[in-house]
Order: sequence, then C-alpha cells, then structure tokens
Amino acid sequence: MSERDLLVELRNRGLRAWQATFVASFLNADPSAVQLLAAPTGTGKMVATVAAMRELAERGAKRILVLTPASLCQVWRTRIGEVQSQLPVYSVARHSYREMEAAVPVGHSPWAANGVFVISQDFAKQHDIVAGLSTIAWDLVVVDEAHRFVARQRATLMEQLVAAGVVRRLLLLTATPLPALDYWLRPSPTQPPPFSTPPQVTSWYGVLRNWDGSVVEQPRVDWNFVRYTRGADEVHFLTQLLEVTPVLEVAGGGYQLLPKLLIQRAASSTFAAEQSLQRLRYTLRSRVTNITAPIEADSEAAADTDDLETEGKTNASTVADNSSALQLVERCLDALESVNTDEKLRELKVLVRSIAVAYPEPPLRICILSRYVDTVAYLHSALQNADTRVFRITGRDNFADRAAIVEEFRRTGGLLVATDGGSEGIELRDVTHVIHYDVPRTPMIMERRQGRVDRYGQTTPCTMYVFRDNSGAIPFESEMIDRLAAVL
Amino acid sequence: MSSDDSRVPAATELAAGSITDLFHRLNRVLPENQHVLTVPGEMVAYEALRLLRQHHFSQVPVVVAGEVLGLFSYRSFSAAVLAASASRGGSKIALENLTVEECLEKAEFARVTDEFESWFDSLDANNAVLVGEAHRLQGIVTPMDVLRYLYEVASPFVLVAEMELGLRALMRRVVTDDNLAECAKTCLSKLYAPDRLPTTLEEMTFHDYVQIIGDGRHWPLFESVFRSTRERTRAKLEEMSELRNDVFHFRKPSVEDYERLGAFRDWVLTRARAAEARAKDGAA
Repeated sequence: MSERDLLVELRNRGLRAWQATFVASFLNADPSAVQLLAAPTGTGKMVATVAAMRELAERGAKRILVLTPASLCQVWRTRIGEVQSQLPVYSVARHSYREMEAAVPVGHSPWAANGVFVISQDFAKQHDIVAGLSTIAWDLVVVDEAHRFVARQRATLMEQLVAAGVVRRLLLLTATPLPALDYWLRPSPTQPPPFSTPPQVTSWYGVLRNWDGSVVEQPRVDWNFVRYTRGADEVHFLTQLLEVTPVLEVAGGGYQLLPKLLIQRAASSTFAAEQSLQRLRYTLRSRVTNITAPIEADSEAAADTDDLETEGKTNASTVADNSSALQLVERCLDALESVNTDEKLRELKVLVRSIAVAYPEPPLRICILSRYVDTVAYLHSALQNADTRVFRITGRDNFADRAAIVEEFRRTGGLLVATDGGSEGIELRDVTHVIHYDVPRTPMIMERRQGRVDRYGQTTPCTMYVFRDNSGAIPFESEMIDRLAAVL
Repeated sequence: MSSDDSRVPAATELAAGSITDLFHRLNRVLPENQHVLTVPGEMVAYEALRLLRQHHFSQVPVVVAGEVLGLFSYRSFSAAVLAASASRGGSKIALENLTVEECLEKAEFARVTDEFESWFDSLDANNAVLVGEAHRLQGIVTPMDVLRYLYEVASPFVLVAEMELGLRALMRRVVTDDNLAECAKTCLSKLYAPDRLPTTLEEMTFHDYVQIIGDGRHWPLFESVFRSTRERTRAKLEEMSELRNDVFHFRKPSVEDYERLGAFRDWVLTRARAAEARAKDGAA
C-alpha cells in the first residue's frame, strides 16, 4: 500500500491528520532507529500507536510487547483488542506468568507465543521477567510513559532489552516535553544512553494541522475560581489536624509520610480525611493488638489505584509508637464528630444549580474531578438529589466499565464525578464544565486533567472551576491554588 | 532455543486468563512476589545454617547447575550428622567441612495447577512444598502461605457479617418496629411492589438500610447513633454496600479494600460502643 493510500485508509478509520502522518512515517522509517513520540495529553498518541500496531500485524508482525504503568495495562489491552484482531492480546502478571511458564517444557520461553503482550513496567523489570523477555524477538516494543526510564533505576529494563538485540522496532511514548529527555537526546560521556544513536523524535508540542492543512485550534477554556469559606467547625478540625500531624509524624507508627497525605485529603473533603483516619486507626489497632495484616501488599494492585495511602507506609514500628499514634488519630476522629458543616459541598451544589440554570442547551455535561476515591464517593452520594443523573468513575472500576459509564454520560448528559486515576485513558469529549474539587499535586497532573477533557480538535468550549477557601485553614492548599491562578 | 519458536499454544490460553485459573489452586497460594533463596551444593552446612537463622527459614533448596538437587534443613543436617557419626563408629566428625550437598533431603515438586489440599499431608510432614520442576523452580509454599491465603479468602466474609449485624443492632436501638415500617413506606415504596415492601430489618437488604438511614426525613432518628453528618454517613454506608457487594460477588479485594472493610467494621463497632455507653449513662 502506498503512503498516500495508507493515509486515506487511516483517515477513514477516524485518525486525525497528525496521528495518521506519524503512523505512516513510523512504518516507513528505518526499523532499527528508536522512535520517540512526545505528545501532550489529549493528542491521541495511544490511538496512533494502536493504529501502527494494527498495520504492523497486517504486515506480518507476530509478537508485540507493550510496557506500561500498571494502571494503564487494562486500557492498552482493551484499545489494542478493539482496533486489531490479527493478534491475540494478553495482559500478563505474576500469577498468569507462572501458569504460562508451567505450560511450556523446561528451556522453552513462555513468551514465545504470538500475540501482543501488555505488561506493567514494574513486573517487566523483575529479574526473571526481563531475562525472559530478552531471549525472544519482538517485532515491536512500545514503552509508554517513557520519561520514567530516564531515571537510572528504571533504565536497566530498557538497556537489557536493547542490548540483547531482540527488539526490531522500539517506540517510546511520553507526554513530557523534550527538554526533560535530554539524557537520551544529548548523551554525555559520563552517562552513556541506552541507545547507540539518539531516538528519532516526533513532537506534537508544536503546531498540529487538520487534514485540510488548517491549524488545529485548542478549544477555548475559561477558568473561574469559586470562592467559599470553610465553617468554623471545619476550621477547628483542620487546625487540630495540622497540630497533630507533625506529632504523628514523630510518633511514627510506620507512617512517616502519612501526615502530609492526611492534610491533602482533608483539603479535598472532610469525608476523605475521616475515611483515612478510620483506616489508619484500624491499621494501628491491628498493630497494637499484634494482628498480622491479612494479605501481603500487592504492588500491581497498589499501583493500579488512585488511593495514595500506600505511599505513606514504611516499615512497621514499635507497639509504643503505634499506641501513641493511635491516640492522636482517635483525637482527630473525636474532633471530627463535631464537624457538621461542609461549605465546599454546599458551594458545589450552588454552582451545579447555577450552571444548569445558565446553560440553555441540554445535554449539560459537568465533570467533577478529585484526587481521591473517597471524595468521589462522597460527592456521588451527596449529589444524588440533584435533578440530573450522577455518574461516577474511579481507578477501582475496570476500564470497560469506565468506558461504558462515560459513553452513557456523553449520551444522556449529567454529572460525572471522577478521580484522576478513573479518568486515565478515557476521553471526556463534549464536557461543557469541569469542576476541580481539589487541586492535583503537580501542574503535570493538572495538565493531564485538562487533556482528558480538552481534546485537540474539539470545538465545544469548556469552562473550568477551581475551589478556593477564603479561610486559609490549610496554608499549602491556598498557596497551590494561588500558584495555579498565577499560571492561568 | 529458536527465538521464533511458537509451539506453545497452551501459554496463550493461560495468559488470557483461563477458566481453571478461577479455582483455588497452588498458584493462588504462592505469594505474588516471592523471592526464593537457594544455596549451591558446595556451600558449607555451617554457612547454610546461618542463612536459615538469618531469614527465619526452616529449609532451603540446594541448586547445582540450575537443577534443584534437594532440600537442606535443620532436619537434614541433623540426619546427616547422625549418619556420619554412626558410620564412624562414634569417632569425631569435622562438621566445619560438611557441605549442604552431603545433608540433602529429597524434594517433592508440586505444579502451580495442583489443588492445594492435595499437598496438605506433604506440608504437614515437610513444612514446605517446592513448586515447579527440578530444572525450573517457581516457588515454595509453606503452611503459613496456605493459612494466609485461607485467611485472605475468608476474612472479608467475616468482616461483612460483623458490619451488617452491627448495623442492624444500631438501627434497632433507635427505631421501633412501627418506626421502621413507616420509614420503609416513605423511602422504599418506589423500589418494591406494595405487597412485597419489606418492613423488618431481616427482610431488608443492605441497600434498604442505606436508603432509610441516609434519607433526610429519617436522619433525626439515626443521628444520635451515627453522629457525623447525614451526607458523610450516607456516603460511608454506600461504600460499605459496594464493598459488601464485591465480597458476595467474589471480586478479589485489593489491599485497600481489606483496610476499608476493617475500618468500616471498626466504625460500626465504635458507634455500637458509644451507643451502649450512652444507654448505660442514661440508665444510671
């Protein structure tokens, strides 16, 4: 098929011009050159990659490996399965790997079957797995979120695969602008890169063009700050929490990072703080009474969630540490019992009503984003009485369910309450209003949030709202929002 | 091995998640990220004993040229010492030169697809079962792994039972049978045909409890036992209801789900203790 015919074919399949052009150039490029696609969230690099996979499979590729963060395994598997049927698609973790291994004779590779294997980067970098992957020829290896591999501790996996000479084509994907990838692009003698020559770069950070050659315009985004004032009882609780958390940090209980996370959750919603405190109380009580945790931490599962509590855990500490930490947690929970107001929620309800009244053309699609599963659960429950349908997606739902819920939301309109993890891999097109109920940890996550909604090529204007508490009860929250306001 | 070898169709079935994978087999008992400690055959027994003590293990596989020759354990060491001593007619033996290869016990191998109860006797006798083959050791299962696994499988059901029974008891504390029937009429009548409307706690589902407690019209009845706000209580009960649903639909709970279940169960218990204490105070 000529490049021109291929472009027509890709256009007919719904690819945008810049995606199709990339696919064509990728297929025509020298396979031995490493390809790097740097693209902002919302430009559809997964769409382009999956289209390239389909083409390669139709041209005889037998084995494709996709290395992705655990949270995106399901998304990749589903998308690849939807777009091509030449090759079966498998998602492999430790348990399924053991059975694959047991099913082949000793000395044979469990990876030798034809197909697209989607595996998490954390699983792939385990010693026996990377060793096995390095013995089999791969027609294509796709590394998602490739900027993670710039870090030395993660680079080994890619270095081993490249050094083994088993990778026919290597495609690196990242939503990180190129300066962050200097290590690959401008190698230094002190830090040799994993590739013999720097990757060939395709960047979508510049101007993108439509099929007719016109410049793709970013939809207009209006930002608004919703000012509210936390109630006196809420401020009292937060003050207590701020007083207690440094002590909790010292008391330890094996949770050196948790105090900071607790405050961040409290900034999101009182409910999220309450849930965290109760889970912490449960864990500390279990430790004090010497009950062993029922199961071992499952790194794959933990990575696949947007609940950050696991980040705060360190090694178990002494019973005395746990007891003193438990007392502090109990104190916070007691203080929480007298919190009867929730001004942020009240303001949210007012905002949703006012948007509904002011927006003349249904269906109205309002998306409310939060960092935390608990906040999303709370808002989903509290908004049920609104005169509209309320949907919810979080990282705990599987990808197919999330996609179906979003499809229904697009069809009927309503409120969609989602976590950052839940909206990952999902296109929230046609959303008219986005309410950031809390602010993410980093500007990059904020950019991703925006990219989920604010897709390139979308024409629907979108209004975004950020909540700001006038009481200033949580200083770092106010600082973060002020920084954001300055950027916007 | 040819890198183009694709004579392994069975693997593809398994990678996709076979139906048999749903059954409780040895693979499920093996810890997810187990790192198996092995020792070479020429290692002196003294060093291997030090490793066992250091890692709190009772035995360790002995591997020579990629093949598991057997197991070295306190027991195999004692047996080897006794045998050596007997063969020398009671004269002294040089323990410092004894290698693990001279203290081996035969190893039995299970497959990841085996039913784990078929290995109970072996676990009882040997305290561990090797999984895989002599040339491909995939892991080691111990009785503690089995116990942890069974606890993991059973504990969510126990926690859900405690949560639900506790919640019923709390509701009973603040509503009479008549109150409850009235609550059911107010907020459950849309969900049931009139002749099927549940009026007692035993007839109601967990979802019905959530509807009744979380309804603004009934909240004044329940506020005294649940404290907090109606919105927070309702959100919590809805979360409990979802987790309960997951448990009874046999969806594997994550580590966080266990914590959530435990925390919910603790929350109900705390509310029950507070309600009982207040009742005692009132009686006094």
